[in-house]
Amino acid sequence: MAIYSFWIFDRHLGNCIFDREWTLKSNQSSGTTNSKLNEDTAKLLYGMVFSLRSISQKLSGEGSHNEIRTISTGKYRAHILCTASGLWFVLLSDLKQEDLSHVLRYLYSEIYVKTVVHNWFSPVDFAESDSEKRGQGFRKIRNRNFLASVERFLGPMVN
Amino acid sequence: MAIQTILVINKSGGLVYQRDFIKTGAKLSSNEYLILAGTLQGVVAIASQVTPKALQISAKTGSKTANEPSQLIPYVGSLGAPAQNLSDMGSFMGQDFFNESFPSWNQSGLKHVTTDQLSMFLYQTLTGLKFVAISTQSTTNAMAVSIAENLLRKAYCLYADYVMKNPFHDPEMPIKCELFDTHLAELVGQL
Amino acid sequence: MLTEAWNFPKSFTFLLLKLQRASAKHNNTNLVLYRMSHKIINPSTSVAPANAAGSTGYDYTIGPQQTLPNTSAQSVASTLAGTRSVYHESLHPGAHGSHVSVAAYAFLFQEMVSQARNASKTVSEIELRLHRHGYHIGLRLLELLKFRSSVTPGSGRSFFHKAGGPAAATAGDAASGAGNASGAVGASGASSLGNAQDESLASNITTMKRRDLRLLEVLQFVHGPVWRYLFDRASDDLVKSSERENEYMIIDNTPSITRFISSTNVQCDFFVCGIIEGVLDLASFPCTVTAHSVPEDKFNRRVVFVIRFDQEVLEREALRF
Repeated sequence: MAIYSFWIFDRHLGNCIFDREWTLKSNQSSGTTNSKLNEDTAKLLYGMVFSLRSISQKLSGEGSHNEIRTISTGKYRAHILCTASGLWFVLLSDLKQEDLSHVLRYLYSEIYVKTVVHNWFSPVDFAESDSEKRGQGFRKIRNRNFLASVERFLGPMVN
Repeated sequence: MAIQTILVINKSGGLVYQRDFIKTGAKLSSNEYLILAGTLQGVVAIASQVTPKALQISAKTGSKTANEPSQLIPYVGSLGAPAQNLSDMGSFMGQDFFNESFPSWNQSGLKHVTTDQLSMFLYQTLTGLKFVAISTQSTTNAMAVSIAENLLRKAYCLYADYVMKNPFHDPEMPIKCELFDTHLAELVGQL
Repeated sequence: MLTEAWNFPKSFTFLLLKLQRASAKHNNTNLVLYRMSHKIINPSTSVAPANAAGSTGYDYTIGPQQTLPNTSAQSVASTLAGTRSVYHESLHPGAHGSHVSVAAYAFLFQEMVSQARNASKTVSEIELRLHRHGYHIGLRLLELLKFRSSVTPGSGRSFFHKAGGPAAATAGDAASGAGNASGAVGASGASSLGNAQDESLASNITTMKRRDLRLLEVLQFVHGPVWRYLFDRASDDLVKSSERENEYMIIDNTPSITRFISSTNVQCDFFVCGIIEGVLDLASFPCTVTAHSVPEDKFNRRVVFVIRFDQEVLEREALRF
């Protein structure tokens, strides 16, 4: 089992509200959290998912719902969960992981909902004004409980 | 696994071939298919940019050996019935177009997308030509992926025979070759 | 997948010759094509390059020799003498030099059709050009096949090995002559070709093969040896028209040279028509040949070559001699 990074995008077209990337397989605490350096990667990732998502919706035809699940390349696989509220959870893993949707669902329902949504001191919408929408947002989830839970849950999967 | 559509995208991202094998509810206009082809072309390039840092680091430090064997795609035999007559096989002699594992030329670009209803497979050639198959089954099974790779590689063999050797085909232009149509339909039908 | 050898004809050489002539105006392309041909043909054969350093690359009695042209043979042979790379291995176990890559052939023919297409305004003009290319091949083919069938396989070998006098060169059967002569000589690996070439082969032929005088004989010749030489098999049928006295039909269920060409309104088999017409014309059976696509249930690319002989041929045929 190997996972490489975990990303959350909010509904404001490309605002990344959380990112966590592990750079060393051997070290669970390696890598970056909510890093400025990852901004460009986040935008590319968002663009890729956005494009493929629009393709899949076109292909499914009228009326039916066709959400994207995984994107694979020769080197890694991205697992995607799109929630009804417009949040995207993206998890990058190696190619051996065929389906990690249960992991994403747990991250959403058990961790995000419990530590961010149920938390009265945390904003639900991370863009506070119009100027922070459309990929211009800079606010991230800095909630200590959330960060710790993510580490605890995903850390063992890194290597 | 039933193949719904096969597309061929040329190296500049233009759609040169599109064919539906199953009638589905979604009927895209030819313009939408053109957009789809262009989008895919872009996404292929983006996908390799997004490669996680962990992989970039391990590639730099030279621990490549772990990755190499997995890049060989196993040959899936008897994909469709063997040709009755050897001369039906075009320029290849033998039962099948190829009969051994082959390396993937698409090392870090987009290969495979699954959604709730469909999966889409992408085979890229050395010249930048892309073959896309859309299947009606959503699967990330490694076996299904290698079957799809084999299928598209065969489609590429057919392309090499019946499109590139046709004097009436202009390179990079939409493919209008009856023999390519029939052989591709045969290949997909045998699946 | 593109360079697989296939049981395919030696007519390649002729096609090449044609293309060269056709592009004679453009000297550069001409040269490149010729060079390329050597690169394409040579690797798929099994004759050791070291032995063949002195030969010219083409021996008119047996067909293409798998050697490099004289100019480069020395250096290449010396560099490659010790190491047999994959390029010296035949891709086809029974190739023995009598086969060429179908892919190379297809690409060459494709280029020929494109050339005819670019130079023509109408469909019939394209067909006429292809026909004309084929015609000149046909003329040469008659001479060559008759000559080769006069040299029996046995005599050919003893000649090349300088072993005693010529074997009794009985006029070989035309059907076996064309295919076997080249096969046998090629198989023996024409290793001593180089030092034997200054002697004339003519001294070795006791009886020259007669040309065919009867109409059916010459049609059989086209149906059998010519077809075998070009496509490695006899044609599928030879039929006489029931409606017209002067019409005969040669039927090919799976035409080889147009196998990759999707049917268009241009009939590329007119190239083969030209070959047939050339052969028959030189044999003094003036005629016109046309190709028609007549699909049958199993063979959807079946082609019928209709041969219409001139009236004088029928009149002569009616005479007894």
